[in-house]
Amino acid sequence: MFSSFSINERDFLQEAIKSNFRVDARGVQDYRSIEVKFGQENGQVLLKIGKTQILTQSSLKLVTPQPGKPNEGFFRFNTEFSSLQQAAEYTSSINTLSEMRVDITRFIDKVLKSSRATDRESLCIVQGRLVWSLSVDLYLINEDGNIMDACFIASVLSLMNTRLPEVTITRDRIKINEEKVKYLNVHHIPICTTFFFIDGIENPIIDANAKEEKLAKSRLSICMNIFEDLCGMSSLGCLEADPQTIIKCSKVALIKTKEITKIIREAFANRNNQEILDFLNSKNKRSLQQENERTAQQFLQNFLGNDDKNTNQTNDDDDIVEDQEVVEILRQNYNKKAKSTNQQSIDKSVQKKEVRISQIGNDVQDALNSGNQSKRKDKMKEKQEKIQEIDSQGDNLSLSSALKKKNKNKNA
Amino acid sequence: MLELRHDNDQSTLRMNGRKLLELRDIKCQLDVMKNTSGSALFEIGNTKVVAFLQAQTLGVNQLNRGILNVNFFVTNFSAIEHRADIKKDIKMKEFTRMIKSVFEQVILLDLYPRSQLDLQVFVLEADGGYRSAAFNAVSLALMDGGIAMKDFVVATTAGLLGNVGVIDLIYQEEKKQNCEFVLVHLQKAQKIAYVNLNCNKIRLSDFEKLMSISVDSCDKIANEMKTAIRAKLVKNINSFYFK
Repeated sequence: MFSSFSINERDFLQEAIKSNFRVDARGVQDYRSIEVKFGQENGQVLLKIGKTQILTQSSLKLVTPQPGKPNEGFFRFNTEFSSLQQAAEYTSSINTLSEMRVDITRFIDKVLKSSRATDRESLCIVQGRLVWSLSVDLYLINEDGNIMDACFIASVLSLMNTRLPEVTITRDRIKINEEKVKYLNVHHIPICTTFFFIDGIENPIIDANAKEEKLAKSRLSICMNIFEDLCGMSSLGCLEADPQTIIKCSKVALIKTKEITKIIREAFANRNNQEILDFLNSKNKRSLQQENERTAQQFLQNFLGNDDKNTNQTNDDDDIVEDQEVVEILRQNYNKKAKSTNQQSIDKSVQKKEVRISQIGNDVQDALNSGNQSKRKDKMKEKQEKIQEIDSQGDNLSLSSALKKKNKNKNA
Repeated sequence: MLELRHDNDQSTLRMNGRKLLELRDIKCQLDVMKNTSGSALFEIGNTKVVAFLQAQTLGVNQLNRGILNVNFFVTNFSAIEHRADIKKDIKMKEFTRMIKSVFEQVILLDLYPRSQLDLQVFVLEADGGYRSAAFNAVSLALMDGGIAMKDFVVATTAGLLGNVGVIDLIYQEEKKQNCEFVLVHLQKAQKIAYVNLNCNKIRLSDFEKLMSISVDSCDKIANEMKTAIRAKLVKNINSFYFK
């Protein structure tokens, strides 16, 4: 049963969680980094929770409704776990893939339908004649624990990104206009948070990875939305928890729901700038490994009392290059407003840092590195200026005008 | 049809003339089938669930631990609504897994090496709360068979009518209110084994209320079950000594 799991490893994990540590450098009740990318296709979303990756796509079909419910369309969720090599086992029985699929699909189906996140009436075209049948396919690309949450969030996101084409009917012709589309109504975003209960440990852990999942004896999934409503709850295995623990869990779930909803909203707001295929190919900027390296570095720096803080800069590098044009325009505006004193002080500080770096770097290679670093510092400075600009004005007017100018330049 | 007033008045009557926190009549019957290791019939109101246990030692299973197999079936004639294709019913598949996952950790399977426990659960009549009734029936059948368990498993169903928490919903109330909370309680350890909330949208405070009333109602159901088991034991002893 525990084929890839020695007794030593199990004891180590258990002891670590007992003393409020996780092996991948996060708190007992912390999520791994969550990334959301909305694709251009209908309902295409890529969701990453740590190393767990899910790709979704939805498809539409015109069908006739059921006779009992003439103005309701159909939702269907389908999960595909092809690469589930290390499927976690919490119950001691041989837990087949199909059982897991049934469990997860059914839970998603039940909660999304009963909590009215989307209404089936919005899929109706002609009452009693023609409705949309929407099927959402979830493909698990990589599995590293916590599939329940990942599947649930991915299915909600897929519904958010689903567009219904306009249908016009003339006498005996149905015309589907793919160019005129409207988004599916998603009234609220229910988010699932799964708690894993481990033998001998009172407080459950959130977002277990594959190894921790094997350790767990039972799990509890709580669905909530940002308006503090409970939308559903399900458990697997014998929890052996006090009633107070479960109520406490639901309060923790509320906090996590708010965090995740914020991430989703942000991703949805700038969905048009994202290319899903690029995202697949590009290196994961905030991957777990890098994040751990960063935290480790920070820890070392704090420990040794070093003043250099270059660690944060590597991650933001790419964003700055993209925004350079905007920043330049912003800078011109900034100069006009003649707040020269502030800028001078910043320049001075930068000069100081450069001087210091050049002093340190005697070798040729070091000098090259310092050159790179100073470039980065310039970019950082520009970004800081931008942020200051926005802060001081109190609104985004200048930014929007700058963006417009940028677009004009592009067109020209 | 009686409508419920939206206050916490305990004397308000529900659809079939019950108070808010009143259970329907419970009837527990042990040893219903002669050829099984243990069997039980659990009735609450019109809901009727029967569970059979067949324990056997098999050459196939060479593990140090026993194997538990569960077969849960909602019969075609149980509910009012017509169900066309019963074999593909995904609800039963899901619930089978739930029963199995709970009882696998409650039964001390380490004490039964190289053996297999087969549980058959049939819902004969479904009038609300058949899932909690199934848990109770399985618990009784296991006790009837004399299987060693960690704890005494009791299940109950609760729901909300408007804002008011009620226990033991009937079919019409389940359909109408769209909020059903199944809770499985371990009576000795006073801990929760399984929760399932199937609802529209409820507030957190309402959920706390649901939790407390369903834990209370578990005690009542447990008492009924205990008396049934005691009666059966007394009958066994009498028949043994006073033939």
